[in-house]
Amino acid sequence: MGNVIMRAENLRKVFGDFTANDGISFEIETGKIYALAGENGAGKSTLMKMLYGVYKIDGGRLFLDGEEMTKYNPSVAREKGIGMVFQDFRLVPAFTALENIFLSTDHTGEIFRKKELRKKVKALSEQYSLHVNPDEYVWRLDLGQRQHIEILKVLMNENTRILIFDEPTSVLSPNEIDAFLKLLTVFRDNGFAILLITHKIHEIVQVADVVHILRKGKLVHTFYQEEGFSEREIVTKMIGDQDQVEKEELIHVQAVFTGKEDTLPPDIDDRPILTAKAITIRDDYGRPIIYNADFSVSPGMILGVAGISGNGQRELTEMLYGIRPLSSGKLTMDGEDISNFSTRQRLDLGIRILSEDPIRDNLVPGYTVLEHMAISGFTYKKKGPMIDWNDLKEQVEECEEIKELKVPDVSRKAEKLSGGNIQRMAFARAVIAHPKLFIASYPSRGLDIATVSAVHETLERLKREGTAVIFISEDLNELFMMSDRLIVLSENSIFGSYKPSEFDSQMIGEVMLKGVKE
Amino acid sequence: MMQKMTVKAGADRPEIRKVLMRVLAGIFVPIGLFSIFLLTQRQNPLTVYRALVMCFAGSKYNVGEIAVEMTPVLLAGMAALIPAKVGLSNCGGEGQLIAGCLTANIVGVYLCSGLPGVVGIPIMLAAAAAAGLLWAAIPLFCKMKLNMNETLTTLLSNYIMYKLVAYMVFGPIKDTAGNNYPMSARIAEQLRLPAFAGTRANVMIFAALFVVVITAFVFAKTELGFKLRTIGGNERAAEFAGFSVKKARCWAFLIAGAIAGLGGGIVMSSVEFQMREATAHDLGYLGFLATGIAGGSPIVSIFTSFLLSALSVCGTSLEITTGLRSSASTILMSVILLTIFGLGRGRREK
Repeated sequence: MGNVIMRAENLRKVFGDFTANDGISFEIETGKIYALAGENGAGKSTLMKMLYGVYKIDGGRLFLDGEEMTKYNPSVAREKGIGMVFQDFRLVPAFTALENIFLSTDHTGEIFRKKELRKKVKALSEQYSLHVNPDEYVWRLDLGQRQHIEILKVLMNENTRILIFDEPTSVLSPNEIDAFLKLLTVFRDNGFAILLITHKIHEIVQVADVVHILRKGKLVHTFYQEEGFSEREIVTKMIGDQDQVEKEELIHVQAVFTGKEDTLPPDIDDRPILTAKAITIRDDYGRPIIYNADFSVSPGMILGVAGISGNGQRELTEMLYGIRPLSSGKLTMDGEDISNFSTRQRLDLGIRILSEDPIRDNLVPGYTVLEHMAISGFTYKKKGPMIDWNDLKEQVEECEEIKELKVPDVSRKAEKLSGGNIQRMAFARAVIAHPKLFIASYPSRGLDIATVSAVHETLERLKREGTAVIFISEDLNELFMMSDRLIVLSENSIFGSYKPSEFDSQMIGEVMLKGVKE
Repeated sequence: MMQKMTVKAGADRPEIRKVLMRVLAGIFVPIGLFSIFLLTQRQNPLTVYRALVMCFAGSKYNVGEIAVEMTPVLLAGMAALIPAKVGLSNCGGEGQLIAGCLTANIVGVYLCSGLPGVVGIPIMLAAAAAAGLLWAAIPLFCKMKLNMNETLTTLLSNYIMYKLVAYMVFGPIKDTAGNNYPMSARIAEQLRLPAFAGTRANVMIFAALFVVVITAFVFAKTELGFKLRTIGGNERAAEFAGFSVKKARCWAFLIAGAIAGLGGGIVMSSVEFQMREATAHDLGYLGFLATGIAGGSPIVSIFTSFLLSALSVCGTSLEITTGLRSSASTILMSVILLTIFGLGRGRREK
């Protein structure tokens, strides 16, 4: 039987006019593993940081041992027994494991009693089978061992009763993940409460006693081990089913949650414009996030890409656009090997992209919308060494796509625009050149209904004009409505492609989770 | 969409009014603070400031001295500013400038001594620019191939250049005809830039101003400048547009080194003529500060370079007229600098 250590009532966190968390209530007891599941951007990390005192709580109340926390910050949290294992390890590579652990202890000004500390660290390591040599330099350790140091840092605080893990498995190899999950159960059996943030569902199902689902900053559902839960149930709640999708997102209601009619010529798959053979792409940590996978896309086709976010969507698009190297395999376009082409060469071949984050990837602070149109998209005239801005302005203002997508006035500073307007700008810019291959990552993100249908119409028109469209979305509804073929990113691989007649929401959901081809 | 936007100097064109306010505040606040220092030194601030103003505009010779100082300061300023526009930091203008100065001396003494000035001076200056470029190429290589932080490597390379010059003047290039002083030989008469009558100033101040104006024009008006500012403003945006970010950055950095080196060459052929251990010291740092204070605007840097050069020149005359040590002017410069940085920081945190 556990005791309630922490109780949250209606927690709320606001950033500007964006509500990151709202109305979040739950309790945490000792000896249980709590999972907090949700897609990227659902507000998981924000909630964790509030619980650990990093973020100020903007509304609601937090109780620890029944006492309301008014002046709350990380040192109070630590004192009350809350330990946070950070996802981005905060270790000094040039120091040994022991020295790093000493750094984190609260004995400011004390002498570094190496022997004593080493003894304590060794005892803890043995108790929980954390394999760390205290005298090894951190730069020599792999990510799994570094994580063990982070855990030791938290355990060194004798008050610790709640362990918070923020996406702990994202840096681990599959073997390390299994060991890590086992470790969690050891902690639980030793009376710790565990709070685990993750978007990897099969891990949750293996260890969690309680699963909270977070969507768009709200706790939408809670599953309990006693009542049982399945991966599919969790995913459904995470991405939201039709009934729960808010009204403004119900763009085109479809009676059946299945693919659309297949109107393409039957031999279209035999004449691809872009073919990826046995491709391997590595993520920022250098681990293969997509391994030995194939796919192809043909002119006049919209190829939908489904998958829980974080399964290689970003890496795939960056590789196709020449921003990220292809680790192995071959990419051909129109029969030509373009695996090592630069972004410039790919642009010249007619490849365009709408990035998943136009603010990060397209926005230049201080530039107007017009100047962004000059960076790429439009071909401007030159007056000697100078750009003819007036001519460009006329071009942009007369452009159909710009009007249709309601791109804001060209003289406005782009950084002052809303996210939706920046999205409009980036999307318009990418499609103006009538690309041969258009990679659209989340094109309708942050847009109102009218603009979303304008975006969809533009994609349909491009397709009619013979563009091959790669369409990435997290909204299954939208994907099913638009895609002529569908591939799924899951389990470090690419599954499909599936024809519209072959898929429905259930089957794709299954593939998204386990990568099983049925 | 809640990502915080940070405005980088590379992309935004500094609004003249804002910069002007900054420069004015940067003058009057330090004047107040420096007055307090003067009072502690039992000096009447008014007397000192009057002496300064008299020095600034007092005589043709003084104006000429300011122009002489300002020429390399302007060029070293561009050596800091151009890389900054593409998102790199070059703190090595000092070393690149001295590399140019040293090379101009060696080339002048050992290769061009028999040549007429019309041929010899351009060769010296070209060699100086090449030396600056090569000295910049080393930290650039460390940055691009070894991923080392260029702020640190350029800064440290200055000290290597100091030691290299010391080694040279104590050894290989020591003037054999001299009295065993650690100095190089002087370049031949015809290799010295002719000065305007009654001053040590020469036509190179206009060359330096021309370089600044061209830089300003390229960045503000041309397609090339637009692309470079894009790279400095958001590297990823430039990559997504297919710009060759690396190539552009390398060229910007090398050109910066060449400009600083040219500045060193001018110092050699217009006022120094021979190399000593401390020849051309601090000019590169003054240039770096001048563009820092100017907030990345080349045109404003003309005024800040003038101000810093004038203070540097007039430090000496302060000593004569008021009895203050000449290092007092360094204190005033530091106060100005700290004030400007303080102002800049206050604004960003809002």
